Amino acid sequence: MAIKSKKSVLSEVYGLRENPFKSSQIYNVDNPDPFVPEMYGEQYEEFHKKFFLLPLGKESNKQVIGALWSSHQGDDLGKGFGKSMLMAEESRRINKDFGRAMLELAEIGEQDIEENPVLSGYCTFDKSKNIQTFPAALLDAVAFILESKYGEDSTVHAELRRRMIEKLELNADFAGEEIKQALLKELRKYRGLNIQLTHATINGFIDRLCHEDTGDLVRFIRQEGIGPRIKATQGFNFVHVFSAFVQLAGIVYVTYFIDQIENFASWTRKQDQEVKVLRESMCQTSPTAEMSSFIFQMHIRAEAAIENMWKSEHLPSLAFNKPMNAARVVYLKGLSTTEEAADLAAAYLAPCRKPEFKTPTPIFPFTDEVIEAVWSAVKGNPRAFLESLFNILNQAELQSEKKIDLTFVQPLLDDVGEEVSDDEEDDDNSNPER
Amino acid sequence: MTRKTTTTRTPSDKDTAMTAPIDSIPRVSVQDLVIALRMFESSSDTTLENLRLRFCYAKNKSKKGGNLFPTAVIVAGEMQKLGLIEPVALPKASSKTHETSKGKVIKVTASGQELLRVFLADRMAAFDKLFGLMYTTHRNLQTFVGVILERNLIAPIATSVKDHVGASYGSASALADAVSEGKFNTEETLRLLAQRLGRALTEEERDELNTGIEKLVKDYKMSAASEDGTEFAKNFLGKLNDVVIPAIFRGDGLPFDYRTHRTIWSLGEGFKLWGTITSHPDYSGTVVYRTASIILTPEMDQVKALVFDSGLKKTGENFLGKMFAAYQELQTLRKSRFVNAWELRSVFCLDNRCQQSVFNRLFEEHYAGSDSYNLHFEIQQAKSRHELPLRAGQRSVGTILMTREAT
Repeated sequence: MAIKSKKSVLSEVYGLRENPFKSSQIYNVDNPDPFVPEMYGEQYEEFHKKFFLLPLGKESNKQVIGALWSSHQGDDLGKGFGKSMLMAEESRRINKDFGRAMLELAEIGEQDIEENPVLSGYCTFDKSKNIQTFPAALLDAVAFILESKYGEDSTVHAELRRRMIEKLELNADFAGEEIKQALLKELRKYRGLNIQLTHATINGFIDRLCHEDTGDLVRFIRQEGIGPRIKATQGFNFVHVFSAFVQLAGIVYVTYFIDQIENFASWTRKQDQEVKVLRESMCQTSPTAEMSSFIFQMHIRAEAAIENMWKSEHLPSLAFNKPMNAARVVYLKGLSTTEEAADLAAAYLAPCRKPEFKTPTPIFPFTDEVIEAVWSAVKGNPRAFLESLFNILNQAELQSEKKIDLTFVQPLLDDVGEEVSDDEEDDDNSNPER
Repeated sequence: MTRKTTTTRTPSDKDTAMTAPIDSIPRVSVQDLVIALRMFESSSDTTLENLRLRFCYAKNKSKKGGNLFPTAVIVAGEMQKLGLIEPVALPKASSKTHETSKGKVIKVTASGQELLRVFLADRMAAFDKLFGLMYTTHRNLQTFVGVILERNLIAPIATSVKDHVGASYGSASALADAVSEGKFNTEETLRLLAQRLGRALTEEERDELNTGIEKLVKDYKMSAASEDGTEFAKNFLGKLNDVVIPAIFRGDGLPFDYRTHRTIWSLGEGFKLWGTITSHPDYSGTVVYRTASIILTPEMDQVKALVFDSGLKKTGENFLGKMFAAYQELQTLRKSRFVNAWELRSVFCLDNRCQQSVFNRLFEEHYAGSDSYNLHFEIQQAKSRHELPLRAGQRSVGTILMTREAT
């Protein structure tokens, strides 16, 4: 239990149970901070359009090999713009209803929504979890999808099974075995697949995929069943099995978001070979090829790390500055307006409010001017913005400062540096057009 | 209490200035006043330093030292005049007073709070109300409104040495040489001025201009010899406008200095009541024209109502048809199928008495053309000197070709 001071301005004046912000706002997939789609502005819609809606508009091959970039203007290194959070949290939201809400938002008709359920996976290169190759990473994304929540109290895995039973009119009492037979039959259709279906690990995976224990399945993938060496060499085969499985359940499209690609370049030996395998075994092999997209998280250092091997394998360019790539690349620009910044701050503040405390605005104890000052000082970088708010609240607590205004905040922001331009800000203080 | 404001005083005619109505228009924008007013949203008082910092952020300027402190003081002064903040002794509008006066507290009045309430509920109504307050407070503004309601103003602002000062000054250094040697040709400048105005100069205008330019040349003789030619020409043109603009408008009852004119023009644009164009092919200078109807009380000292009769909605009716009419007008004049985008905008705005911002907005909506009208663009190659670019989607348009489908 955290200690509480009776003299705390945070509690007594600002009505907060604790400082809602952190000194280091780095995305943690197991314990995520509030997800505020509004902070992505127009890029949020672009994200849906380019990685989901455009591919869904295609009949035969829906594959997109794209990238999610973030600003590296000035001294930015493209860090802290919320790429990881967007990829992972948006995937969770999509999996929760198989993309229904997203498609409704885009005003897609009910029949099309029914006929085009989608899934979305997230994975990251993580040495501590032995995820250092593309097959291992994509297999982790498969686990991410399967254990994602569906609705309020189900999982994607359970829902896929339910749909399959319904669609194939299977006997619910023997569903596991019947699904397995249907899946094996389906897998045998793909002559390009080089999967030994009798292999113990593959068989173990198929068994668990077809039976109802999601926890057991995820443990099998992540910890107990598929060892690091098999993940690295055979991981793609498990992804193909998964693709065939979801296809049987009526899923038409799966997007894989692949994070921290620069780590792949740092840790993996034989990178050229790895990229070749990615192209040949994943991007060009059915059933995954036609129904899956691969979106890589990029920033300037990541691009430099993979550029050569990417080119030599003739994989499509992921550069953000080539106009021809525009339909496959989303470029996050950070918080582009003070309103987006205010929405983000409010989303963090709300869960920490004392229930009985009445606040004049959702961003209290900050004012619009202070939010704008911080936003401007950090040049719209969401991570730096949240960290600055953390420091300001801490400083106010230390000094028992009852009012956070520009004169209090400015000295704290001085070291952040300032970018001055001649462009006057176009904000909501202007006279509307009549 | 001294404040940095524009006054009616002109350097070239002290006697007239003494008899002109004494009033000052603050060198602030409408937006500055609104930004300052909104500082009272979360608290009924604030400090000049808070206000200064707010301006720095809003204008994306450096926050260091006393930057924009004078603006904060001027805006606070104007708000006091308008009765929006309580009377308090304000420091001199200079960055030198920043350190000693930055903590000065300003408090919103009941009418300030009322205006803020209106702003939050109905932004347009708040701007109209603010204009009403400024109109009642500033006699210079009243005089200007009286004139602009009756006719357009053509301001022959000098922006080019060769075209507006003298054809013989082919370069900035030629002008500097002429001034330093005391060989400036005033007659040539007056001839070009009359040509630009499209009328002969009156005797009074000639006298005032001769005296003013003579003094200007004398004052600038030393700097013409020492300053860089381009820099000198820029300064000289600015000062020449200080002489010419009051002299030309004195006959209209607008004896303000050049800066006051400019401030009033931009206030009108902020309030959407009058606009300025600089690229109309029929005029060699800036045209100031009314874009709304201002209905005054019988005593003419208060605004009764503002009617935006050429706003977005009205101008948007048959927009492409109106644009085609402007295009034809310009095409006939220029004898070219592709016409300059800024000139087209200027012709359209003056013909339809609308703000340039209205045209820009409607153009963004209609640039794809319609069943009846086709538009073809060439991308902007050169920057316009005084105008914002015309945008069509992600492009800046340089020239436009417009055709109408046969019916």
